Amino acid sequence: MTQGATTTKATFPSVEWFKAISAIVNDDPGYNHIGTCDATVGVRIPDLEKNYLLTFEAFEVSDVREVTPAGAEDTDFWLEMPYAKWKEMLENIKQNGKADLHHTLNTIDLEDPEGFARSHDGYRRDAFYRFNQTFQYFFDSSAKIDTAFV
Amino acid sequence: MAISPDLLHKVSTEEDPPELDLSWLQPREAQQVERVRAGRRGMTFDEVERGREVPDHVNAFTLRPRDARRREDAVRTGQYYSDKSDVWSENARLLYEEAVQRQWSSATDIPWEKVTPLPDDLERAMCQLCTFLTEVEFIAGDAPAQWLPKIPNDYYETKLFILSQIMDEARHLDVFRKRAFVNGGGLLSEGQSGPSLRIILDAKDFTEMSAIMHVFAEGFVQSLFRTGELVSFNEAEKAIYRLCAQDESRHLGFGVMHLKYILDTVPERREEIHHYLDQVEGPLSLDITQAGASGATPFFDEAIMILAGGGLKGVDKGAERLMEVRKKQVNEYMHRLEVAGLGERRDRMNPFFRSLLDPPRN
Repeated sequence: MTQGATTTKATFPSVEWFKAISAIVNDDPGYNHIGTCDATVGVRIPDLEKNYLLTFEAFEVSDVREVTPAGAEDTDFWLEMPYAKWKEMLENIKQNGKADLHHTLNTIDLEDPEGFARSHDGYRRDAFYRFNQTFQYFFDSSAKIDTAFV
Repeated sequence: MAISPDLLHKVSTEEDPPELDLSWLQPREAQQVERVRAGRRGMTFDEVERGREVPDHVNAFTLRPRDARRREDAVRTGQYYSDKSDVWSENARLLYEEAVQRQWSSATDIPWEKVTPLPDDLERAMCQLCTFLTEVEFIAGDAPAQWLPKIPNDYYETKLFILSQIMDEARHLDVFRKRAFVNGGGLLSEGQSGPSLRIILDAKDFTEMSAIMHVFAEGFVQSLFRTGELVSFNEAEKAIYRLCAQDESRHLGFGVMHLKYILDTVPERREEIHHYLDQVEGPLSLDITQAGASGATPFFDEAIMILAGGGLKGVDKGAERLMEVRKKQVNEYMHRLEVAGLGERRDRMNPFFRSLLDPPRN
């Protein structure tokens, strides 16, 4: 992915930030090329008490909303880490145009003893792996906007 | 040469139209079906099969597709499974469509230019890992392929899914072979996986094959791919392992849901399935019998330890990482068995595996 002209500004974490990334990938042939993805994904930032629900449907991210902690966990899987770690990952993506070797979703997941991707269901959790390229592309696309941090 | 008048007459005269059997064209012979419209994912089998039942039992001896009219003179083409439970998985249709949508090419979707020279120990360790994975992927293609002629066309969804899996496995052995050669290393030693992995090829039943290959072996290989991504040295390797892990997760998903289906519909097979898992957990338990080596595949283990440790000097750190991976593999295996309805496996698992299990979740 190459860094294009940066025009959108949004604050992480917020519904607007996730919607900005969704708008980018929904209009991106490269994202379509990866193939369909059907999954509900929670995002949890416990120390900020922020929780989101992302709905990936066919070739697009069809819905983004702020939810309760239980709402974020009532998904195929949720991504959870402290705010500082989220910030580090997104700053790395911005700096490199995409995650470097140490900041991919899978690497972060394996290096965290608790796991970055969590689920109450061993089968539904596999969606993290089944669509991993899609989720990586989604977060890598944050390099295309100006992210402000709270 | 002159043409005889008789022949000239024959070729210049229109032949009588042949008698046509147009019985198939009669409305009473055609099934009444609704017009089908494409959905958000395109024209998938979810759209085409909506509202249509898949029979629980079939008397299949011919190539007749499900929903086609029988012919009295159709020849027998094989001995097929007759019960849906023998081959069915509720997600087969979805996973097949997903597999088709998410295909990738080792030739064009991997940024091969990002592979740069590595120190010898790391390059050789990566090549040994790729040698092992190439070997394993041959088994992963050969094993399900043996079952294709046993799956009746009535359960075509499973047949299509297995075909997509075989394509995935072809791409995996293709991409690992390419990675082994691309940096000038090449394939190294044939692994020791033959004797232990032969149990997969020797399966005598589709469910046996699926339980030991899809649920057990591919679950472990999926973890290996994720570990491969973790220890990768460049974006090309990252992409290879990530894409392979995606494919492997579909195969695993099929197996988990097939196991669930059979336990839900034919619960009397429960003990039989435990027996298959007993058989596979033993040879493939990867029990560490001495420092730095495993009972099943020491060359593979040593390669992972060198890669995870950043080189030969970091092999102790790599061994720790290998144990962390093992623990994750075993716990994920248990979680999938719980989803399938085999939660009691926790108390019956191979002792070495059981020692790696986290406490049960509430």
